[in-house]
Amino acid sequence: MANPPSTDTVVKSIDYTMPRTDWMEDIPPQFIPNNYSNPAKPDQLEYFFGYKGAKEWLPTHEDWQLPENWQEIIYEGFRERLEKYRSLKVFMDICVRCGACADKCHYFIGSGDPKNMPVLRAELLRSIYRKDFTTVGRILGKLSGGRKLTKEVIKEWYMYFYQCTECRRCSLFCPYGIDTAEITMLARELLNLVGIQTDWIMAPVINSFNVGNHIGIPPHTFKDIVDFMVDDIEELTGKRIDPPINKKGAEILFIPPSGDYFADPGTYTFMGYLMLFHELGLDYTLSTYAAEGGNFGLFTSHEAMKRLNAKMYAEAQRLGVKWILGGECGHMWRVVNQYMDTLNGPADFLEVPRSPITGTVFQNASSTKMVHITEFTADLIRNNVLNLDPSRNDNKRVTYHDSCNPARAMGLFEEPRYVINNVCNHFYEMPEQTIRERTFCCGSGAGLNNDEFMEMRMRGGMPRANAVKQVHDQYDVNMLACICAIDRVVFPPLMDYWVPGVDVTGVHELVANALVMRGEKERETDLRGEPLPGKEG
Amino acid sequence: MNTSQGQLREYMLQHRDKIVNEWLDAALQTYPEDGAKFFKEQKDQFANPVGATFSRELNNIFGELLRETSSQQLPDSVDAIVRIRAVQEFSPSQALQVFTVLKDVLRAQLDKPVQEHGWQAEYRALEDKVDQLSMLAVDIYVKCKEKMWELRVRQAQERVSYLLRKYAGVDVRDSGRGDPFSEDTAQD
Repeated sequence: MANPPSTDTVVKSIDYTMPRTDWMEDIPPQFIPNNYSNPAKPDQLEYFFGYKGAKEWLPTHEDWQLPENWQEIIYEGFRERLEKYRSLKVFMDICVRCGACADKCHYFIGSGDPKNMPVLRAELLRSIYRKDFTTVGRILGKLSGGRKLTKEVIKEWYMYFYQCTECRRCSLFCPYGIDTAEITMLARELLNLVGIQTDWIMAPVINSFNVGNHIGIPPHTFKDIVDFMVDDIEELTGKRIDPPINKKGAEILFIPPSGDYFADPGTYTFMGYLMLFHELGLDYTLSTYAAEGGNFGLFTSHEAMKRLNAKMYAEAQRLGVKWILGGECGHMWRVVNQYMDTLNGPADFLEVPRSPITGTVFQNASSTKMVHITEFTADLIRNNVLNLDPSRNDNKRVTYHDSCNPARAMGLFEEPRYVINNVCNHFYEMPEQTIRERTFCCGSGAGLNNDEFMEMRMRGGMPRANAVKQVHDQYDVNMLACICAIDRVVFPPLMDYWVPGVDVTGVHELVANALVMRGEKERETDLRGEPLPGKEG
Repeated sequence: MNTSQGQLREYMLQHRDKIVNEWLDAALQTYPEDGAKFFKEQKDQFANPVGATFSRELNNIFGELLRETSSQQLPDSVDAIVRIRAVQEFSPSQALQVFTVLKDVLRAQLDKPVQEHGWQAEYRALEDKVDQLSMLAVDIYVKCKEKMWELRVRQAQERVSYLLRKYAGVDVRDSGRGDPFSEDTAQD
């Protein structure tokens, strides 16, 4: 038997030393199973973008089957986007490498890999810009921090721009307000042009566009699922409800993230929406085509983002509703709040949202005509419309994760907390440097919530989990509330790995537990079928 | 009876901070330079959970090595570190190098006093403890990796859990945190 390697040999096998010069060229990315997302299929790219000539490839292969004129495509695509998006040019030029962002990325914090420092991740793109799109770069080349566009650069982009969750925590600390998420978006868009994209993003984009939701649940199955939930709700409350689907002329179109109707624990949040709307007697409708708030287009290209956003509004117009109510979704809210107006808006054919229950006019949504459900529910509670029994949630010791996009892209901090505090008696905040605008990402946004990437996500989500652990240890917190469907899917394994004993919930699951519906039977369990406090025996 | 028994321990207690610091440096050398610098220098445990965990737990483990019999603190501390290393981009041997490298650190720090004072017997016992520590880390590492695979299976099920429940009659909630088709959970 061979001798095991000595410690010294093992030490020497790790070479992470950063060379002082040319580090980006000298340390090529190493693709190994579990550290990358699987590529999109050629037919997906051809179907959605009309991209012809794509071939099968794998990150672990030497040859990525790039088109012959790939450099020309990237250059031309870059040039076009620099002209089109003034922000991109500013972001490329303005960074002074002050380092304020460097240690703010959860992927850097969890891995220690310098290329995950936002400044260096952006430099992967900026170095190409500097070399070929600036006069000084053309003359000085490497001396000005520029570098040649090689196939290795493409591989590096794929590695690191697909380790960015577009959460924008780093941007918060940038004195110039450079939006690293937009740099990632543009880099991914350029990769898209040469056929480099992930399956986990393209499949949901196509399904959402064609069928209406990420996993391609057809309309009749959507109806079945809602019916199943109606049965579950009847069993729980004794009340039979009848959620409207594709109802023309309804006042409000409700758009949830699809994760809430096929994946636990989001399903309980979806039941919560339905129970609340029924109790209010709300004139609303679900739609089988606009059955997805999630916009994975944000993770691939402006074109895809625009088309997915447009279909929600097209459906609102077709159904003749007055305004749109949006569910506990994440990225949808960045698109609606920050891009919608220049992509597809303003939505002049809709009315400024006004709660039919309280009369409150949501002026903040006067352009997009779309209200976040925690804003809507907070207003209901504020106006004392709901009969709530928070003691039904007394077995839950709750903390709240500010989901990145509702938090940083629309400043939604108070409403979810106001709702939670009115439906739960035990609420505890995580440390202040990890919540509100400084919230740590779940580690899985921007299309990284795929199976093959799980190990990477564990390290990316570690700073978030570490803050949850603090309130778990100190206050015995056993429930992590959030308002994003990706959170609800990825937090259970993240918690199970780092903080066993903490479960995950949407805010409207907590609302529905506490909601005393008119004429309901005495409830024995919560929405999950767990005994209510005091009814365990 | 060896009259020098306990003297090495006393020496190590006196030089604890220095030795633990050397160990921390050696452990962090397995990260890229800029990453290691951040892990070492940022003291806020929420801004830098990896570095904070290493600083805290290496010190705890060192304390456990100095005890006659280790307490539950030892596996807890080893777990905290291995749990991190198991999801970072290391091969198994690289991941566990945090522990194996302790022998090098101890040699560098203790060789001279051990030779001078004739503490060899106590030193050999200490090295045996470091070996046991490494073995404990192997056990925990494997458990962490097993957990990852369990979570993968679990997530694949939960992603469509409602559909599985309603269409296939498979309720993944009944299976606890494991594979519903495994032997353990089949008995439920």
